[in-house]
Amino acid sequence: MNEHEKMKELIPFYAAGTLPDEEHEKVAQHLQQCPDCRAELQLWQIVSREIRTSDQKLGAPALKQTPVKKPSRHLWKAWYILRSQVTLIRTEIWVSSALVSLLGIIVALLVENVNAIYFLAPFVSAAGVAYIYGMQNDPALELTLATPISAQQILMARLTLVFGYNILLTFSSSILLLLLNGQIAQFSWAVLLDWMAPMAFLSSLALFCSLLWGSVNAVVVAYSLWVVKGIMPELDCSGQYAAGFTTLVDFLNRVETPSHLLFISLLLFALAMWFTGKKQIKLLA
Amino acid sequence: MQAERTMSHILIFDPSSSSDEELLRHITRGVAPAFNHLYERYEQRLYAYALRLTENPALAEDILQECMLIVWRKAATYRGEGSVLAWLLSIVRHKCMQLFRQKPAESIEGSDLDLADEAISMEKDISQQDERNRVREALRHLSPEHREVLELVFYQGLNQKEIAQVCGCPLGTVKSRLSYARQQLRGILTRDGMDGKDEP
Repeated sequence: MNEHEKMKELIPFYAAGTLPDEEHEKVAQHLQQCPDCRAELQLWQIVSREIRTSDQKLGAPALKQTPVKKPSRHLWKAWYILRSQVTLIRTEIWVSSALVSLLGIIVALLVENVNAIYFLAPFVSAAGVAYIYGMQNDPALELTLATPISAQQILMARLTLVFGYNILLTFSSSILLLLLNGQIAQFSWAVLLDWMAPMAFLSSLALFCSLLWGSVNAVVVAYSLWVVKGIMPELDCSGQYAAGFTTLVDFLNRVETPSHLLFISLLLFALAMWFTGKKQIKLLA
Repeated sequence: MQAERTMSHILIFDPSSSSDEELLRHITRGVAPAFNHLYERYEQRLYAYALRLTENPALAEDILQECMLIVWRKAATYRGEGSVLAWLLSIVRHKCMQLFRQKPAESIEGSDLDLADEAISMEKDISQQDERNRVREALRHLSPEHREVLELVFYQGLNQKEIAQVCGCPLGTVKSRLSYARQQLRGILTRDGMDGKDEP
């Protein structure tokens, strides 16, 4: 394409006044020496005038109303995933958690101490969470993973359901006990955090271990750690593993505050999510 | 900290001095004044484009409302690859094409558009009126896609790349449509003795 043809192509945009400065200048220079292109420009100017004049007369209607933001599609999707996973979680988890909580209420009533519930809560939750994911717990997992929902989304949905269910059980049990004992005035959000943090920690540990070594081993590891932590002050640390135990005691004592436990829980949860993603790629490869 | 920054940004937000891109960013956060302002800025152009495509004021109005609803819901999908106007026009065009697929006959049956007549009645100069009549007639002889390219060049002020983006066609097609429109117009206007070449 020669220079004249190039310029000719740009003339409509020159007439519309939408060319960048540099190109506008080039076309203007070309027009000075090319009568053919000047005639072309006149044609486009007439057309441009007609289109602009007639279009400017078109009055747009007023906006009927400013639309209201609907709940985001992500929220709907999250709700859909949560609902779909309820039936895929092992039924035993719901039943056993409820039964152990009932047992906790009875024990707490017998010993007249609501702390029995708080002591049991991490164990119940960890056991439930250890059984939410994996081929052994969900034979149709491979099929589920072939859907557009990612493994991490499935894991997060199941964790939300089981962990949320356990929180609800423990919370309602403790409220019931406080009411029965006439101690409802003692309820505080700080106490709530005191039992929720260990529960989150042990649950995320069980989840992470279950992805690595299976559900049974995860429960054993999580329970052992919690029992060791509970009886550690009375343990004789003079044996073969004394040094290791001492280190473990030191570590557990340092991370005993709710904020530390919650931080480690988040870390373990993030690791679990990362590991699940890697596992899904292997499984579907 | 982030929330504070966002809040202060919203508090000092002035729609009239904001760029199109800034307005879209605010719309993604659900800021209604930004939406209203974007509408005020482009309502006329979008409506004119929809009207030229559908040739039916009622349909054009519906399309404009639907287009703005999409902007409100999906402002976040604007990727900044072209101008905001080109993005808005491509939504209008997409809605029109959807409508044509659903009700191909309606746009023709419902056509009651003779907007140029209104404009002409305003004109006092008879020779100008005559010239406009002939140009308008020549434009009417163009096919919708050739007329559309001229609308996008002269009324919407888009460049070739943006026109290709709005029409969803290659750049070469835009050029050939423009060239064909030129040949057609020149043919008709020369016949009527109004070609630029005949003028001093």
